[in-house]
Amino acid sequence: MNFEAFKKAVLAEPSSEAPEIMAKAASDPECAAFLARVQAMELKLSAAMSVPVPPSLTGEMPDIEALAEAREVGRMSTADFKEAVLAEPHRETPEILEKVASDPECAAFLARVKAMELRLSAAMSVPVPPSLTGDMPDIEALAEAREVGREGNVVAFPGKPTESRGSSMYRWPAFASLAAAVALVAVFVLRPPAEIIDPDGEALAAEVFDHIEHELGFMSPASVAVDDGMFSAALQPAGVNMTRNDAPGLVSYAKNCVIDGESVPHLVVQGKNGPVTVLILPHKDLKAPVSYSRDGLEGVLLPVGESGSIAIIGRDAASVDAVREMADSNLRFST
Amino acid sequence: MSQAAKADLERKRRYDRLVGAHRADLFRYAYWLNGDAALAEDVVQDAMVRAWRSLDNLREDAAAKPWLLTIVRRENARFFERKRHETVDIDELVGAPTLQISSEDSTDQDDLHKAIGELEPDYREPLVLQVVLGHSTKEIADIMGLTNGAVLTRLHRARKKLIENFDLGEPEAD
Repeated sequence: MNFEAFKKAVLAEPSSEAPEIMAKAASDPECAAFLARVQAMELKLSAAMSVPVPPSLTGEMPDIEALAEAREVGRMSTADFKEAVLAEPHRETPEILEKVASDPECAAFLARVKAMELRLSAAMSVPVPPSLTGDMPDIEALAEAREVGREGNVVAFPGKPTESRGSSMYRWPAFASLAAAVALVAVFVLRPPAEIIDPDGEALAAEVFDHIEHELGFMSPASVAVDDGMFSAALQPAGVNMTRNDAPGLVSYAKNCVIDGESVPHLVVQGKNGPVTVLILPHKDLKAPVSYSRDGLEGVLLPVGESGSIAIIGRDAASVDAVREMADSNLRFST
Repeated sequence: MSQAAKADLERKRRYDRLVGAHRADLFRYAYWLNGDAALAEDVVQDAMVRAWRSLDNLREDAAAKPWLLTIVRRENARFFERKRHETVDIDELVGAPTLQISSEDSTDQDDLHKAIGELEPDYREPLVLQVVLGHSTKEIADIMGLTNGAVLTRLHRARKKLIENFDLGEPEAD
């Protein structure tokens, strides 16, 4: 071992007593002096690095449960809470719920974010043009008009985003919507409850609950109503004609959803005892009213007209009953 | 009626049922992808035709919505690629007749509309998929080809930017 190799080994492991190190130090005074200096330096280094330990980490071990309570290790921080809420405002994990229950600031933050979501949803629900609502167009005529995917086809394109697309836009004949309006005139009224058990109703109720659990965040108190355009856009795909005045309360959320392949208007109505979700199910027949509760939600499904039904779901029976009463006495809608 | 005619009729019925229920959502998705109501209408109509031609590739009806959204997404990209269309200036959209949404508080609504439009497309797309179309984080990740974590990050940043850029009555998000 030469001197350079010796120095390298000693600086890497000053306390090493490897045979090569010891033999070199014994046979080479320069190496022995170097080793002595490094070991002296080690003592100073060790002393300098041994910072005082705070009293909380010396003496007897603390009560670990008290320590856990005080430290909040593993609990969601306020910053993490806000990040999670801003990413998924309607997600209600145990951590989120615990944080909301224990931290008023976080509870207030969540409430404001949910209020923001209503405004965001309203702003993003742009009106749908007539060509994309109502009856489906003849797809072969549309394909002919659109010429999609034909090589070399260039559809006229405007310079400004809001200009008309001219001949490139397919507009189905006006008589189609007129015919639809004439055909859809049957008025549905609520039928009186029947005293029979309807096993299909239970299954439908379960399906409805499955659906709304993903959109529970919209079932929040709100004072701003959706506008007529959003309201009708939610109802039209299901072939339901109904105005906001027909609804049993202020409608703060309206969206078209699909349940079991059928188009279903999904409304949030601000009832006198709190917000409820109302799903209009024009194609789901019920023999009798069905009451259903699950996961802190209460609901009722009511037969409507000859072949439809509505579902009213809230966070408690009082909110559901309030809207149900109004629905029983006021609701009329036609499809 | 011949077997072929019956099959064709059944195919059309299936198409009408699957696509008809989602047209409003497809339009809103396309609109927030490209910021242009007329272009979004074009994109959706072309997507409808492509969906018709490839309907037999859709094996499960339950998967219709994400399948259609993917078609709209591709069709939108195809439009921009084919036309080399310049990015729409969102300022031009505010006040456009087709974009007036609410009869109440329209100025405020326009401002929020504009703030959403000013988000980067990477942030705006998951937001519309979540807020308007009601998709879960995983579904958004599948549609956009991202990880769940990436989707959550984009959603968080999207709302944070909206709070920063538009007075939503919110406290500062940490």
